[in-house]
Amino acid sequence: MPSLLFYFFALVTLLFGVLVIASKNPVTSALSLAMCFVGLAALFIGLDAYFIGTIQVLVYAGAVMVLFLFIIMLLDIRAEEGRKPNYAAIIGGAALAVVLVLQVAVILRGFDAGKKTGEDAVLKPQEAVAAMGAKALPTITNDLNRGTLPDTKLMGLQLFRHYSFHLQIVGLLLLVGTVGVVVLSKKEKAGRTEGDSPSGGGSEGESPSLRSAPAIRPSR
Amino acid sequence: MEQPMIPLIVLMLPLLSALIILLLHRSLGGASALISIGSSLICLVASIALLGSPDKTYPLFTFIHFSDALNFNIGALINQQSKGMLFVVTFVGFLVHLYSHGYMKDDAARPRYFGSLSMFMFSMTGIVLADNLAMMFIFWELVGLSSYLLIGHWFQKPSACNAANKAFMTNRIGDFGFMIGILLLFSMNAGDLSFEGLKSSFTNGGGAADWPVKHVRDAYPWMITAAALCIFMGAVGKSAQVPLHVWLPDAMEGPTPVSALIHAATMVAAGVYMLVRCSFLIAASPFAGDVITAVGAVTALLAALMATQQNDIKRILAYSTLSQLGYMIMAVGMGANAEGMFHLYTHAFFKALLFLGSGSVIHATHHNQEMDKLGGLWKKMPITGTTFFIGSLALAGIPPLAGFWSKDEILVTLDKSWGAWALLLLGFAAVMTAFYTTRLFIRTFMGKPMDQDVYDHTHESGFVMTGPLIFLALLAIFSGFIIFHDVGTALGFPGGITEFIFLPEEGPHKYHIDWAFAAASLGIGIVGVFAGAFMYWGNRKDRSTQLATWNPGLYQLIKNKFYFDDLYQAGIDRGVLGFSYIVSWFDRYVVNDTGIDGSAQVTGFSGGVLKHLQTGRVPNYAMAIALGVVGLAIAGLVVRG
Amino acid sequence: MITLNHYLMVSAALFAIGLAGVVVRRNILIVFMCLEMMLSAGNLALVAFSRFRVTDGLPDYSAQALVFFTITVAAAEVAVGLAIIVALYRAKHSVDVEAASKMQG
Repeated sequence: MPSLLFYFFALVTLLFGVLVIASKNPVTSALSLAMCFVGLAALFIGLDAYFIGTIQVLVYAGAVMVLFLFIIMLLDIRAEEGRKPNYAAIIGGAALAVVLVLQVAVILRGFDAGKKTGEDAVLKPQEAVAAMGAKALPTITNDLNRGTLPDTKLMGLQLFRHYSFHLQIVGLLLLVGTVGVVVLSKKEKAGRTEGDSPSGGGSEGESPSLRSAPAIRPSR
Repeated sequence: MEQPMIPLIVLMLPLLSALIILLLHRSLGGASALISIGSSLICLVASIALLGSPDKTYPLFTFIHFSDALNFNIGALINQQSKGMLFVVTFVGFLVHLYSHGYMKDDAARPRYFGSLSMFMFSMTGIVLADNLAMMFIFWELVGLSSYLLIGHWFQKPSACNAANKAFMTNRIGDFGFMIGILLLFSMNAGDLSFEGLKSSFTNGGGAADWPVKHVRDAYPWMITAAALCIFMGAVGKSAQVPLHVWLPDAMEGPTPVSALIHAATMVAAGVYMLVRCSFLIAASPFAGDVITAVGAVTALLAALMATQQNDIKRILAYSTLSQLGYMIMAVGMGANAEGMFHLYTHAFFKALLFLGSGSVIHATHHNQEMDKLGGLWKKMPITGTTFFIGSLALAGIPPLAGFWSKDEILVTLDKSWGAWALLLLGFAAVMTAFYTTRLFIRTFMGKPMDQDVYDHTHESGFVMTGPLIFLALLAIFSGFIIFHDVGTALGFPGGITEFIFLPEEGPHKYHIDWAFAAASLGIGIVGVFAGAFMYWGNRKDRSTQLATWNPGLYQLIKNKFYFDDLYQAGIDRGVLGFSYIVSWFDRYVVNDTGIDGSAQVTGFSGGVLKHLQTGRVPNYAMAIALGVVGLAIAGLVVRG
Repeated sequence: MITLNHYLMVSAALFAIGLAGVVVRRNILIVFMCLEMMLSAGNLALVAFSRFRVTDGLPDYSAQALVFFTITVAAAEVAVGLAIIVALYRAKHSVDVEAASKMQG
């Protein structure tokens, strides 16, 4: 990726990141975060990770940030006004961030493997076909032979060939998350006692939607 | 013939009786006396049976067995010494048991008394039968315990409690030295503490492999003397030699049969017996032998002097015991084991007789012991008076009673070993002995009664009490004759006294009586008797008071028992209590305030400081996590480069 | 030229900004958003590593698989976390982090 674009998108990301923590209005923070993610997605695409970049926009900017905005609207959170900023905490936090960045800089100065550039990491699609050998899939080899990088297909190959089990687990995790959210969000109804089944996400294999879920008292 | 049964019976039967009384005394009540008396009778019979059996060592139990190096057993060594001693112990013990049945008839705590008495018999036979020093030490301590229990039998009296404590503590001091001596011998003989083993090590020079005693004798000759003197410390404590003699007069707070048994006949003689058992040690170190003799002589002399000023009949007899023990210890120190043991036996008989007789007097006069209240009792108590007279003659050393022969033998040996000046001093002690004995007898039994009230209520004691007196009187008369070879043979001991008292390889086999000497000691005795009679006949107080004013300083010195008790008390007050103040300061301020309170306060304080970490505010916790991450990264960087 | 280290620096900077936000901000929702930012910074580093580690002429896709899973899990976590925040809001009627301070020692 040409350096200019890199610097531009990196700047966008970081700037909007700072805006997230600096703005008083939560909606501003949320929208800045969305823009930050977009910048990140651009960086991903620049790194030839098309699938991940797309996913970043779809899931993060599209779903997660929207969810945040929903909640902000639901809880009707106004901007924090009339409160004087806690300078001690701000300076502390800033110092923390600066120290951390400096530490990483120091480490990276000695990181020789990180000094390779794009020229050193040249992609050679045609040669990859030969390396793949007998396990090659025709769709992938066709694209590779044409000189393009079928990023999504390769990603799919990786996921479903090597990490299929992990995929199932993550699927289960999403199910559990869903169930947990439903249970946690239920409003307490008057006269209901606490049920005897355990609540919340983390209880694997249980499906409380089959019977009426117990009311969960909010933590006091 | 393998017969461990008899020593086993002799040893364990009193223990069994004591346990039965301990467990069942509520239901037994007065029958506990019968159990105790029965057990002592059986022991007597068993010991008589043992008299005829051959010399043998019977291992009975294994007490401690860690390895070959650390091995203590309970066993019985039956040889001439133990056979004779066992007979005397069980015989006098049985008579005292019988006597106690009458004496303690009105006492409410009879079961406790008889239980302690059985305990004492167990411990004493343990000492007599012991085949190694470790076992002897165990039973040594047990005897001390039994003595404590018996002296403090009437513990409602504070004086009795104090006396019991004093006895135990003084004994303990002696036992400390005894223990050191045992440890020295343990190291010298590579762990073998049995008498047989030690004797062979000392006499043959062989013995255990690593540290043969001969090697010790060449390399560290002082160690043998040290061991002998330390072992002697045990005898100093138990047999009440100067300077640890202070407990014996106070021990008269106990019942009179106890005084007769323990503090006249058996326990105090245990020290002498132990020294005789360890005679090889004394033979190996002449210096120790001289020290022992000197201590015995000093005790004999001082005690005889102190006895002349006492007014309590039991106290007089106690000091007389001290004096006679001094004689015995002297004999052993000079290596004259047979003479010492002989005097031990005869002394056991006549001193027990004297004590039991005084007990009879005390019982009859309802616990009036001071001679100021007594007098003219012979008419009222003929049997007691007569037997007491016989005992006094024996004590004073008048032939043909037993005391004469045994004391004479000791003086002969003294003359041979130490010369004329020692003889002079001990002769003076013998005069004193006769003197105070006569004083005692005249003031108690003869003349006019000092207190008419006491006199009217006196009556002779029952047969249970006078029977043992008669028996002992007979023994006091006749037991001296065993010294003659023919008498001994007639009784079944071919070697006469030698066979009854010591091992065949020691000493002469025939006793020659030095008639000149005998006449001299008879003269001494008569002088003493006449002096006593001169002073005290006919209730005359004027002559004795004149003597008192002749040298008031000396009189006060003797009357106050040479200030030994005061000296010890001052030492305890200043020394021990002063030290204890220091220790208590340390305990309070260093251990308690700094160590214990201090650590608690430090914990509390740090808790109070640290609790401020738990603010409950989430941002603080988040900051802490972030700081942790950054800090760890810094640490990693620092460590890496 | 743009090296791997550049990407890593950007990732570190984004992470640091997120960390500062977590520590400084008092609104739970903003704190949560900063958490997401930190996660994404990690994802950026992973993707950079994946691209610059070329095996057989292709990038190493296992890192990108990890990124995939991270995004998935982050999404699930956001859902559940927001549900908890809603429940907390119902109890305390405030989204201030100071509101839930019952753990004070």
